[in-house]
Amino acid sequence: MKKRFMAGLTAAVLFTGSVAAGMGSVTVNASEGEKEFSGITLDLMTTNENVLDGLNAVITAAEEKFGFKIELDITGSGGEDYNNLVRTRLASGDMDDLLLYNSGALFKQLNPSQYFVDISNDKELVDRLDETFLETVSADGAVYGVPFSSSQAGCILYNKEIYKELNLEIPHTWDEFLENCKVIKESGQTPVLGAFGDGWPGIVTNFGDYYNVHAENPDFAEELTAGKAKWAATPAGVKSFQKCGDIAEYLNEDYMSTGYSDACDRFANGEGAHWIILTQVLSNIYSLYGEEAVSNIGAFGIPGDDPDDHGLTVWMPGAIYANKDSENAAAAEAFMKFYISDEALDLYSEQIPPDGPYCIKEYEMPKNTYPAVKDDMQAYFDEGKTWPALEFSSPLEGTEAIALIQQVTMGEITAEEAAAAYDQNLESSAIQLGLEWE
Amino acid sequence: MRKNKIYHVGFVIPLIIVFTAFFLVPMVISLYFSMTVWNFDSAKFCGLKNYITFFTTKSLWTGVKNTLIYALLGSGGITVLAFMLAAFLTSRIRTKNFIRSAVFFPNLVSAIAVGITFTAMMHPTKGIINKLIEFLGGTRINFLGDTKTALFSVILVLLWKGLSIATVIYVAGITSIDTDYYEAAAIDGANGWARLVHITVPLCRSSINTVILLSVIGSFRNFDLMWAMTGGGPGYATDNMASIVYKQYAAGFYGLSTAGNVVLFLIIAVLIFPLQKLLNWKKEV
Repeated sequence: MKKRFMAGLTAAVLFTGSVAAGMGSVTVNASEGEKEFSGITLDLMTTNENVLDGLNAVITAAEEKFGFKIELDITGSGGEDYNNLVRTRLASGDMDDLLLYNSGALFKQLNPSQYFVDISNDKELVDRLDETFLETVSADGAVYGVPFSSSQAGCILYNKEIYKELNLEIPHTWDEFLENCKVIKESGQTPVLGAFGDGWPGIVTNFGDYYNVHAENPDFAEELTAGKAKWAATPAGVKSFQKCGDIAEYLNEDYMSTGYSDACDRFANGEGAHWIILTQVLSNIYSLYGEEAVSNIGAFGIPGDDPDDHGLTVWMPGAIYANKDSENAAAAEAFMKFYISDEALDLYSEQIPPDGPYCIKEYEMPKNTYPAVKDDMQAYFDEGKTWPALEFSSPLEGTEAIALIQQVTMGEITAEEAAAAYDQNLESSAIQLGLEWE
Repeated sequence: MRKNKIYHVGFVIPLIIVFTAFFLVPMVISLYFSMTVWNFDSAKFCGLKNYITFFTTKSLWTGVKNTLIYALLGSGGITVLAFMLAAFLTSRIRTKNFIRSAVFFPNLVSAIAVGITFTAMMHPTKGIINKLIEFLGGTRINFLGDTKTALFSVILVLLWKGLSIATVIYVAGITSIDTDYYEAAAIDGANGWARLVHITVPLCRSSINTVILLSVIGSFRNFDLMWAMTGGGPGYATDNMASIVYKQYAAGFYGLSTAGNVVLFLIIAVLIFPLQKLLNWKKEV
């Protein structure tokens, strides 16, 4: 009897829900106590490398508002293993209702039209998204994702205390940076923290230098995609690889065995004067060590040769996508829309201050923003000296960047050889993407 | 006669079906897909282009080279060391049973756990092995962070883990040898070494063959342990065919990774069939 009653109730709820959705009603509470998506459970796939405090706060509010439940499906590790898991689960039809994944090149390789819900019909939603971000979650004119967090930069973080102690100034050319490193080394401290143990932290030195490559050749991304520009034939490109070799003598002894989390811990505790890394680390340090540790960290872009053109390479945030084959796609979409509302953004930044500007138009950075973002990074944005990383303007993505950069840092191959090998690697990517190269 | 034939075929059919469905068909399909650029809903034929890319990329050759080093050192080490261990464990020692279980223990732990544990123990500044070396007055070794030592460090752990099964196989082989042989040899004045070389080794040849084959195949397939320890790095120092194929697949180069798998299959086939022939031939003599 009870079972029957519950079944009836569920049916009624589902019916009201679908009617409400069908009429395009914006009011969420169809009637007292009955919410639009009551009884639905949405799964959201993510990795434990993301800082989830903000997401959890938004989820609690969304559950309250819509009546559905969202369960996080947290896989163990991030990076390549996560990317591979996502591809496999998509291919085998085993994807959750919602997915948290990179935007840009990695996303575009997924064949988005086959797997994700196109949200471009919702003008109100799409119009809120920043144009640069919009491009990174679009494919063939359709839009698929909303930004998971704020944007961030691939830059050089520095320990303000050490800089003050040694009377150092922020460098505006790469040579000045190396000079600073020398002074720090002479003082007996580690000039640059290396975290090559996890793969990706090691390549930020190269990928975060893209502002300088772009400064030399503004059409580099398009030409690279078309097979016309090559890393090895672009002086600034070779220099990007060379920088990975330049820092070798200033790295901590165990850089090849140090992982990202370990390095977070060491940097927050004052070991290492610089760390060339994505600013998402600020959130990691904030949530683990609090405000004082994060206030001691400053940021500057990876400098090039021209002191007057010192810019910052920016990373677009990962995005939340809805699974096209999910029976709860409507609920998933409602969550995505709510996720970028002012209300949700306030809740999010209350938990975790942003690592860079948000990709939502007309949303101001909150007051609790880290000094490295508010003071240091914002200056680059104000002067217009920022450019998105290569992965957001070219769909090409090689497999060998990590290994090649490790080899350059260890001095096994030269920057020229690494650049040439990477060019060859990108050709495989072009073939897979069906790009016509001569 | 005819009836007899059908009778036999009937028994073989289930096996043939399984073998065809799960081995032959996928093999032929992957041969086709290795000559295409494919994703999950379309495939474009491209001839031998994937193979050409595979063989002209330097890092992929490193993988082939490392695979052979893994196989040679891994199986060589296991075959010899496990035999010595087994000979020791079948001799008259007191704590035999305890040591036998201790030797088998590494096999019960998953390769990933072993990899993570050893990575921590081999850490250049914080690892217990280097702490011990420093305590004893030596200089620290960057086991996994240096291209010169990384491959051998992984092989060392591979041996530590691989010894267990091989030792068990040897122990079974050695204990099944009739003790009369040893007694007769002892009466003739053969010492321990002579008994080991002239009785134990020839009489447990079939165990040796099994261990060689299993360890060669195991070393070829070594992936989980290496992946947990180094992820193929630093650079390409510990990459083998399996990890390179995996990386190509992870990057979405499906055609290229399928071609890599076919190459891996061919290498194993080319090496294992003659090896098996060789081992069997020795047994017959």
